[in-house]
Amino acid sequence: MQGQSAKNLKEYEGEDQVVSSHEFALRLKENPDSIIRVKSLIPSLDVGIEDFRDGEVIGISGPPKTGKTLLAQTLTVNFAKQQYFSLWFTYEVPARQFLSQFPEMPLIYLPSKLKAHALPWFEERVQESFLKYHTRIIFIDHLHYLIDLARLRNPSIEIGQVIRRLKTLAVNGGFIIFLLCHTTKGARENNDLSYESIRDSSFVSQESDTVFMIKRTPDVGENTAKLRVEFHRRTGVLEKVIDLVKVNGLLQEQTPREERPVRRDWDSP
Amino acid sequence: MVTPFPASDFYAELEAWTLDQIRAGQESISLMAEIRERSAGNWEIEKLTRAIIFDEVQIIEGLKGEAGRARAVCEESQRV
Repeated sequence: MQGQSAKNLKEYEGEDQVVSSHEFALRLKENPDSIIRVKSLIPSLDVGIEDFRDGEVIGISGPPKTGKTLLAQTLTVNFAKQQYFSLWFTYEVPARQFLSQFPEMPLIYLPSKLKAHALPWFEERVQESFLKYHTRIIFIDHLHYLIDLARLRNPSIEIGQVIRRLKTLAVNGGFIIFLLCHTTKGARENNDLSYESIRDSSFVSQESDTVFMIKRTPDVGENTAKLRVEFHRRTGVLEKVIDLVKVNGLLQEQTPREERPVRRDWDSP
Repeated sequence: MVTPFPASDFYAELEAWTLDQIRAGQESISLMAEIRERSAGNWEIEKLTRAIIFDEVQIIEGLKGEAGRARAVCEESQRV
């Protein structure tokens, strides 16, 4: 690099120019640190992770039929209570069934027709929904519908690329993306379910800001489940377990029953 | 000669009108969400936009029921 080129770079003032940390910090002060902060309204989860913020990709995983979609629907309803309305891509459950699963249907947005294995189409619908309805929260049920597995030579690496693209979309567009993903075969039998059980796990966990694992606990109760926050980058939470129970069609935190005092014989008058 | 029951036209119109109103409500919610975001830190605007969004959601809820009833009546009268 010589002459004119070096001179041009020395005087370069583009939006991506290199600046000092002090100048950068001053610029950051001009802008709010996050566009959107939304709570889960699950108390222990909110204590652990504080809130969900724009630019975050959250993985939700667990064996089939253990409440991934239910957890996502619960969060959708809780976000709507805070007046943040979500955009849903419900590939796995037909839209009619998906909507009927809400005890009271909240205001959400979804494409009239879904197109699987089409990431550019997905990105376009996200932008459409943002411009029309200002939606910043996106649910994808589930990850493998965004990818044409049959055409992939190395699924794990290509899934990594897709998740990186979702992360870029979340950061650049100020979105929060919830990504539901399946676990590997045999994960249901595994009692120590962790993010390593996620199908094509390495990239899902590497690129996500947090991973939630959910598993039903039939030994505790018919409608109970365990939510495990595998990790949370921003707060540093690790392997936090929260007991959930399904009440009126949605999940809520299970509070330990207050222990009743045991009546003993010598208490009686 | 059998003439179509005019009520079906009326209810079809009503359903279309209600759907337009729902869309208008959604536009309003979108606009309020945008204003709320741009005025982050201004509690007065935040409170106002939240109140408007709340009202719009309630109105949409009501209209949703009305559209459903209009469609049901429309289908019923077409069957007659």
